[in-house]
Amino acid sequence: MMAERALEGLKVLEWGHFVAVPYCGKLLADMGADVLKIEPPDTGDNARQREPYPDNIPNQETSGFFLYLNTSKRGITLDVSTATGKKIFTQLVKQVDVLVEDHTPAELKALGLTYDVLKKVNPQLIMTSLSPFGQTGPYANYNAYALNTNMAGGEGYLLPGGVTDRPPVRPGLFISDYDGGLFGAIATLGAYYGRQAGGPGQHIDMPRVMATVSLTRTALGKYTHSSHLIDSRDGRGPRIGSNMKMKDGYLVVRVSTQAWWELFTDKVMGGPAWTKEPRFHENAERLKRPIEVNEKLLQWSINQPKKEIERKTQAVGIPAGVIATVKDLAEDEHLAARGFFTELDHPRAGKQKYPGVSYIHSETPWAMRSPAPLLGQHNEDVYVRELGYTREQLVKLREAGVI
Amino acid sequence: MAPGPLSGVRVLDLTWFLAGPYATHLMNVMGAEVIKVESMKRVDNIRLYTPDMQGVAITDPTSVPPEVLCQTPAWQEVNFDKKGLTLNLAHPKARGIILDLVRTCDVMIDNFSAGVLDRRGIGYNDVRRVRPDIIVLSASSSGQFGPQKHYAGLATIFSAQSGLSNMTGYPDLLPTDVRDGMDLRVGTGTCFALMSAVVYRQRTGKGQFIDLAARDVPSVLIGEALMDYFMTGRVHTRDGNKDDIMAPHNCYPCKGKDKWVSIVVNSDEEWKALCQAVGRPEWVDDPRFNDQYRRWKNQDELDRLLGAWTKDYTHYEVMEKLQRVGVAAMPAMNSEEIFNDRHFNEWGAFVEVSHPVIGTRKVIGAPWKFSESEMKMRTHGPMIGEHNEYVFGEVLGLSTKDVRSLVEEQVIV
Repeated sequence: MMAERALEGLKVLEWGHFVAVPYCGKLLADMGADVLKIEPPDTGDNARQREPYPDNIPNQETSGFFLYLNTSKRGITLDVSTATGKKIFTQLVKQVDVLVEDHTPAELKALGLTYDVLKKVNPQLIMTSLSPFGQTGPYANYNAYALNTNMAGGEGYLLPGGVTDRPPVRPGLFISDYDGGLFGAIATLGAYYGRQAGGPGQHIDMPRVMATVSLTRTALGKYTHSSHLIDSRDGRGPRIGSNMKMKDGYLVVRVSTQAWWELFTDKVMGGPAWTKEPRFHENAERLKRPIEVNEKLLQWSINQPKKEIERKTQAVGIPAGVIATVKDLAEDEHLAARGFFTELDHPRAGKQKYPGVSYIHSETPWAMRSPAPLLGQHNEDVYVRELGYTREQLVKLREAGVI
Repeated sequence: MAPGPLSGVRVLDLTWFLAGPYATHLMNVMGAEVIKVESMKRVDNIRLYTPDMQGVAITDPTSVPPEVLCQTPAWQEVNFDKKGLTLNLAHPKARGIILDLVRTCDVMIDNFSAGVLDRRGIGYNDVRRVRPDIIVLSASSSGQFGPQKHYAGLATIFSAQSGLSNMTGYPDLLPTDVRDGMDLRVGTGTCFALMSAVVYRQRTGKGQFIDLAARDVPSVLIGEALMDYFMTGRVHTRDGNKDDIMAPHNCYPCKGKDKWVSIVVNSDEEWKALCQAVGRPEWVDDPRFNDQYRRWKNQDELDRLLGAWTKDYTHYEVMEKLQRVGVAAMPAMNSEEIFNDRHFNEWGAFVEVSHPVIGTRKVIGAPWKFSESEMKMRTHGPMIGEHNEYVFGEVLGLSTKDVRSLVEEQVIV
C-alpha cells in the first residue's frame, strides 16, 4: 500500500536557482507537492556547475549539489526573457497554486512579471518571493549571496565565538539560503491553508536576510530589551567541556552545573585528584578559570575515544555530543536507525545516497519520489501533453532558444 | 486586510526553552492561537536565564516576584501573544484537563523525552481517542526510537552532533559552536513538519503523529557536504569563509573596531565592476585574477589586496560603492546596526510590543509579509498563569468554584 503524501494536489512552479528557491521547492516536493522546476536552456540551474561530482568527473547532469536540492521535481527548460517564453510562463502560472521565485523587484518589473500582472492571470495565486532583501526598501535590488545575507542578518558577526582577530564567518556553507528556503516553505503552506479555507491568494515577501535576522533574534533582541546588550564574538568563547580534543576528534560535554560536573569527573573520568583542589571543586571557582579547567580536561581527553566517551557520558544522564564530521554522520548508528540516508538511482549519476529529514510522520512520511530531473526532462510532458504544443513546435521552440 | 491564514487554528504547546516555542510562535504569526502550558512546579527553563544567556540566574523560581520570570530577553523573543496557563502535569488530575483541552485543539506539541507523555496518559494514543484528527508532534533530541533515543541534548550538542560545528570556523582553530541560531533552526524545521500535517488534515480530515529528532535538523543544511562525502570521499571541513570556486568570498576589515564587510564575486562581469569601483582597473587583466579559476587559486593574495582597500572605508561605504556597480557587498551587522538600519526599518522588520514591566520596546517582527493579511505580533509573552481564567473558564467552561479547588489541590499551580 502506497503511503499518503501530505501535500498531494499542491501545484508549485519553481523559478529560481542555486539553493534558496530550489530548497523551498524540494521541501514541498518531497512531502508530495507537484513541483515543476524551470531552468534556463543549455546550462540550466547554475547549481549544476557545482561540485561534488561522482568520482570527480564534472557533468552538468551529475552534480551532487544539484541532485540533492532537486529531488522529486519535474524539470523543464524555458527562457522567460523571450516574448514567447513569457507567454508560456504565464500559461504555466495559470495552472498552479504557488509560484516560488528569487528575482529582485527590478528584475520582475523589467520582465513584466510582477505579482500585479500574474494576479490577473491567476487571481488565486500564491507567489512566494525569496529575494535577498525583500520587495521594498533601499536594498531591495541589491546583489547578495548566502555569505552576504548571513552577515547582513547579524548571525555571521557572532561567529566564531571568542575569535576577535580574524574575519567573522558564516555557519556551514550556504546556510542563509537554506534558511530562506525553509521560511519560504512555511509561509507558503500557511498561505495555502488560508486559501483552501476560502481566503485569498497572497504575495509573500520573504527576504532571505530576514531568515537570518529571525533566527538570530535571541541575540539581536537584547539590544532593545532592558539589558541593551550588543552581542559580538567577544566573550562568547568555548565553555568548560565544549570542544574537548579527543584521541580521534572532538567532543562536547555539558558540565555547566555542579551536579553534572561531579557526575562526569567521578563516573566518566574516574575521579582524578585535581578535581578535589579548591580552585577546581566548585562551579563558581571553575568559572573564574575556564581555560585552565579545559587544559586539565585536555590532558585526559586527548587519550580517549570520542564515541565511547559520548556514550558513557550520556549513560549517566549528562548531555554530550561528538563534534561530527561528515564521515561520522555517514557512519552514525543513530542516523542509520532513523533511516536518515536513502539510496536513489539517477539515470546518469547512478545509485547515490542522499540525506533525508529529521521528521517522521506516521501517516505521510517524507520520501524522495524521484531523482532530480535531467535538463529539460519533462519538456515533452509539459509542453506537448499539458500545454498542447505539437512536437514540431517543440523543435522550433528549442531551435529558437525559447526552451 | 484578510485575517491571518491560520486564524481559527488552535495549538496546545507543551514545549519549553526555545525550539518548540519558536515553531508555535511562527504559527501564531500567521494567526493561530497558541495555548502555552507551564507550571510553577516546572517553570519554562529559559525564564530562569541571565539576560546574556550564559547560564541559569534563578535557581528557585518561587523565590522571586513572578514578574521577574517574565523579563528574560530570550523568553520574550519567542512567546509573543501566547495564552499562558499553569497546570501541574505531574498531578493525576492534570490528565483529564489536558484531554479536555485537546478536544478543542488542532495541534499538540511537546519536547519531552520519549515515553514521558505516554506514562502520564497524555501521549498520542491517549489524545487521539478524544480527538481522532489531532496532530501531535514530539520533538526530542534523538527521536522516539533508536539506540540513542535516551540521549539528552540542547543547542550546543545539536550543533556538534549534526555536523554543523565541524563545518564552521577556521581549520587551525577549534570547531565553532553555532549556539544562537541553533534552537530556532530546530523550531523552523519543526514548524514545517507541523504545517505539512496541518495541510494534509485540511484536505483529508486525518491527524497523525510526528516524531522529530532535533539533532538531525541542521544536518540537512549541509546536505551538499554529505553528498560530497558519498560521491568523492572528501571530508569537507571548516575553512573560514572560503568557497569551492567563488573568490573573492570573504569578510574584509573596515574602519573602526571589529567592523567587516562581506564581498562575493561570482563572474568575470562582477569582477570587472569591482576592479573599477576600487580604482584598480589593472586587476581586470592581471594574470593572477583574470578568470574565476585564477581568482580562486590566488584568493589569499586577493583577500590581502582587497582588505588593503576596504580598511580605509566604513563597511557601509564599501557596501554603497560596490552595490552601485552590482557587486555583492554587505556589512557584517551587529544588533545596534540592524535596529537602526534604514532598509530594515523601511521594509518593516520591526514592531512595537508592550510589556507590563519592561515597557514598550521595538522588537524584530514577522520574518515575512503577506500582501492580503496582516501578521500577528501584538503583545508580550504571557506572565505565568496570565490566561488561566480564559483557558479554564472560557475554553473549558469550568466554574470559579472548580478552578478554586484545582488551585487548592495544586493541580493548577
